[in-house]
Amino acid sequence: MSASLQRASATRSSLAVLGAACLGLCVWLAVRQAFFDGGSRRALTQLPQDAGGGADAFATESSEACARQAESLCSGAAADELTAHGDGQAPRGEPQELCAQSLRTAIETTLVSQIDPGEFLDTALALTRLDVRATPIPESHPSGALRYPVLGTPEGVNAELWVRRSDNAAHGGPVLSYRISLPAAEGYLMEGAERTGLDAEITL
Amino acid sequence: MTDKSGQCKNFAIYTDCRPTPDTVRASFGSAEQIPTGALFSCDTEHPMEWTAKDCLLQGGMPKDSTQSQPAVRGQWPRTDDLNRLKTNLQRVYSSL
Repeated sequence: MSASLQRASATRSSLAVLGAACLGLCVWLAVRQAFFDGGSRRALTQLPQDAGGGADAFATESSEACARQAESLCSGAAADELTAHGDGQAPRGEPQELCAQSLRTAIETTLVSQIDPGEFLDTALALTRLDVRATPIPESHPSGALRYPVLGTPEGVNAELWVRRSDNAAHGGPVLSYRISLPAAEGYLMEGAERTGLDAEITL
Repeated sequence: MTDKSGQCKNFAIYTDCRPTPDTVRASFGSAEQIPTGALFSCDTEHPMEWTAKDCLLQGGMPKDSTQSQPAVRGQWPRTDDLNRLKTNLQRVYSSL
């Protein structure tokens, strides 16, 4: 009788231990699951934020890169820095539209006897960073200039490198010029006359 | 333009605001002067001393005005940038 009571007691104890173990396991699993879910949610909710942050950073970086490119193409100071750090070959790119617009304004202003030489200088510096076709335009020009098209200019801007022999014996080497043309899509009125486009020639 | 020692001597800018053929035709026989552009030049040793010649259209024919002194706008002089342009132009020319 006592033996059977002892066995029953031992069985109850075992069941109690097993139940406690199961309960502990369930609690542990629940806590782990809750923690995991929370972590996942945090991860999922953070992901778009991170992606958004990354996109914002990229946009900022892109705009800064655009600004840097514009600066490098339009600023002599930046070109100086690039030349100082590199092999004298600044990165290739297009002159920014802003520069073309500035050049347009600078050309139009010359009709009233005003000159912004820095604007033309910046334009020429920007053009020196673009490639020039190795073969000249086959058609001869009345000035005798050999004309090499500048490649990679933005739409609406044409440029050529003109190479001429100087008549002045005091000059050394050929005379080099950039000839820039800004054709107008349609005629427009300026200083009392209708115009078809603008040209500038910069010679150093 | 550069001298034989390679120094910049002259910086010149020519501009042309092209009139339409109709404008040119209309100007025939007229005494009216239409400004078309200008030729600016400065000695790089005296970069503030610019000279200008206005280019005009009169009676359908091109005509240059007498030499004058233009108003200079913007940041000027920029001697270092002029030397940089000379160096860059020579590099482009030597690559041809």
